[in-house]
Amino acid sequence: MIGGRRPSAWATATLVVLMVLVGVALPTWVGRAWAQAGTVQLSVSAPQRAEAGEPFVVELRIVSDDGPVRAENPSLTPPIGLAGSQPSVSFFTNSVSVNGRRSMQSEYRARWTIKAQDPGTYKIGPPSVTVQGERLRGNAVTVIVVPAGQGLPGGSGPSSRPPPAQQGLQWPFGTPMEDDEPAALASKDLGMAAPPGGKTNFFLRGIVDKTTAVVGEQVTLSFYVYHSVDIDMNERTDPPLRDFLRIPLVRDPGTSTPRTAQIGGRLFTVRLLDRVAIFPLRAGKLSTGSITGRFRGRRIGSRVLEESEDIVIDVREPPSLDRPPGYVVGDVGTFEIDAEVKPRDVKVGGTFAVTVRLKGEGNLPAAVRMPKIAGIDWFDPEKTLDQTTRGGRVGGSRTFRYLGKVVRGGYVELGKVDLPVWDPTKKEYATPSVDLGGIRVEGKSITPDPAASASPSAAKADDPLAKLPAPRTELSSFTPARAKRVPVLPLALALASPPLLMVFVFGAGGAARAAKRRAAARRDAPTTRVKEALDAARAAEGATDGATDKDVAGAVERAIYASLEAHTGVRARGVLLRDLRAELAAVGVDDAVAERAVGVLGDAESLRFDPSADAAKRAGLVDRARDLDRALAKEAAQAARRGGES
Amino acid sequence: MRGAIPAGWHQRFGLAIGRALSLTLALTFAGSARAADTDEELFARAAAALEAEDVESAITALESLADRGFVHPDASFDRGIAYARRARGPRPQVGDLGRAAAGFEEARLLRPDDASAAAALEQVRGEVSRRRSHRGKDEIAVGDPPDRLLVELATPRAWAALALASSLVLSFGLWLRRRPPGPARVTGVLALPLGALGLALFAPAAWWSGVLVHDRGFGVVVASEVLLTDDGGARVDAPNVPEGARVEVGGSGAEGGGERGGEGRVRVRWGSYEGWAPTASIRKLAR
Repeated sequence: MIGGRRPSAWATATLVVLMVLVGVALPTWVGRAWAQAGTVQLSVSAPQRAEAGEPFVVELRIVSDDGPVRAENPSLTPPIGLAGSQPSVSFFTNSVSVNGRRSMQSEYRARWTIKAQDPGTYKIGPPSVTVQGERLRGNAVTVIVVPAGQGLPGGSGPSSRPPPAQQGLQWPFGTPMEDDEPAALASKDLGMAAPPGGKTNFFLRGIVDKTTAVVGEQVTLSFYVYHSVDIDMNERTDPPLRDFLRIPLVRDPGTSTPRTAQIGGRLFTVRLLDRVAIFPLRAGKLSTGSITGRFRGRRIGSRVLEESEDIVIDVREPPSLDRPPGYVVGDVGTFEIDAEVKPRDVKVGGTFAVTVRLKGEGNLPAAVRMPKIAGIDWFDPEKTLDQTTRGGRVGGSRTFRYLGKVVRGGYVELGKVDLPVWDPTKKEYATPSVDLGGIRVEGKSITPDPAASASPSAAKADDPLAKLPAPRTELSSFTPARAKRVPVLPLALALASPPLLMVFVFGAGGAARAAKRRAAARRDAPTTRVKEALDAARAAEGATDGATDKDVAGAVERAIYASLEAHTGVRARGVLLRDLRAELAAVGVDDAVAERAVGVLGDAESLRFDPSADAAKRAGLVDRARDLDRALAKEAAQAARRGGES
Repeated sequence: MRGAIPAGWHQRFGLAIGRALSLTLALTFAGSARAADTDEELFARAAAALEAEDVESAITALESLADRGFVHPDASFDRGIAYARRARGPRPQVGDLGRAAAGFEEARLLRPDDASAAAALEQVRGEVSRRRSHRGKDEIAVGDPPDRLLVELATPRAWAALALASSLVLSFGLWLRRRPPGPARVTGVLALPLGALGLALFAPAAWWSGVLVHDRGFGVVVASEVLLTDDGGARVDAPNVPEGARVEVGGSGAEGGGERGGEGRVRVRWGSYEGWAPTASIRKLAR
């Protein structure tokens, strides 16, 4: 037995420990795995090189595919020799609708502006932040600081390159900016007659370079903070810009040189918070939304929320007058187009490549229309984009690489590629085009297989309407199907009638039975019997058809017995007459009334059984019986009242 | 007196009167014949214009037909073809693809087994998606409002018949339930809740499907996009309805059957989204 109990105790203890471990560790592990499994992604970025004395930015970025990021308390301790600012925090959300399903991506950014006085190699970080209650740490970054004035490759150097976007929200064009010097607003543009809302310490302001535009035309939107007292910005939430495509124009928001503006007799320092190029996606009066931020300062307190005013841009489509065929609303800008065809000698059934390049300034069109040439099928193009910003204008180049399949022999003229666009500077349509020249095709033409040609054909790829059926030339027979309306009221009556009828039938039956029961109860009630007996006595009393005194006395006896039973509960028929008075007194009947009862019953008995009973006993017997019944009823009522009061 | 009248006067006077009468009659009948083109003649003219690639004339004739209240799936189909051809022609107008989709959608509504109208509708919607993708916009596919399933499952009369049957089952159950214990009473105990449940389900279904069929119609977006707004004019939380999308028109407690003529807005439902849209941006479909 001893040897048998020990393994059992050990097994129990082991099981308990295992359960505790599983119960505690598993949820923790699952939670960590979930947090790291992709709903939240964290990345840290910084330039590889920077100049001494010049600020650069270290950015911590958190991207979530699962609703808003709840992040707080970003922290970064710069190493000795570097000076760091308080973090500038911003939120960004993007709602995407795909096939009717909406998903939300959100992004949290914390930026520290770091400045190194001396050259050297610095390991910075890692920065950390609390996300949904858990402290997360990013990677440490290494920055090489070179002496001032030695310059950095690429102009202002990587310090000003934006953080890589591939791990976070994808910028629409996902390529680095080459030039972040947008057209600066003149100081007079920063001025205003008076601060909005009488704000004298600080406020946020959004400025657009134009308030009317066409769909697809660039509008430059800048956000500034004006302050006349010392403040720090803790958090920032970018405007929603739901109806716009946005492209950032400023690489390191918040690091530009502040300017001043005299507003309402007060000198404000004006700092650029952010500047974006926005492209309207539709016509209408489109609202940009507001930028919001939380500020702190000795004069204003902490976490003070401030919001810029909304800006409405009047967006229209380019005029339909003189609109060139093939123009797609949104293709706006100044572009050039060139193309290259390789090879120009192919065999029937072979393919050749056409590379079409667009470059210029504006919203680069997403497609070009290839010429429809008999005997050539175009495959879907391979597209590349090189988006840049120069002087605050978005532009760049986009390349389409088409493969054409040749099914016709001989020399084939490829035709021209046209790109109809709206030129916002000249306020007119332009159609840059490029002639593709021709190709020499060796071999005999292939008879096109309808099934095969349907697959890669340009008609299918570029123009779904090319296969529209022919119009109908005659009216076929047609009888309109008129669904008759179901009248609501008759339908409701028809629906309600059967169950209501059933309920009515059952209810009526029940009521009839209840009435019957009540009638029977009334018939059997002592008071009814009293009345019937008194009526019978009265009838016998006045009868001339041979009714005797015995009949009258019998009826009176029945009435009194019933009355006593009804009003006192005493069944007097089984009580001797001499004991009746005591019986009635026992149930609280007044002695005089009891005596009257005994008297009436005695007279009635004499009339029934004593042949010598005189007529005086008969006279008024019925009336005495009736009075007695009333007196007993009164007694009973008084007794009931007394019982109720007690 | 007779000798004073020039010879041949009678003939010349009669000839003049005859010519005047003839001219008057000719002009009168010609004008009335032109004005009283039958629907069939107008359709034939539209079809001929389409054959001749005269899209504008075809559209004019087909829109005249529609304005007259002439409802025929072939006319709707040809209207769709006409707008689709103009959309891919040299002088397209904004909303042409939406109007083409409206034509095909109307043809399909009037004749549900019209396969070529359904195919053409798919092609037009494909073109809309393609053009949207050129503008960097997602394709948004939204079906009919969920309660439209009622109409797709059965007609209002069928729902009403089911409700009536449920009412009878309920009544039968009520009666059997009062029978003495036995199989009949068990049947009543089962029939009573079944009938009540059926009545609770089918009676509202009959009413609502009737509302959907008779009081609500369909429309198609004939603008590049439509922004849905609430009663106060603020944007509702819904994506913009793309061109060519089919929406349900009318209802929802709005005055005038879902239209606010003074404000130029119409009540629409698009999938589970609901709001007001500019009247001019929605083409109502005949039914």
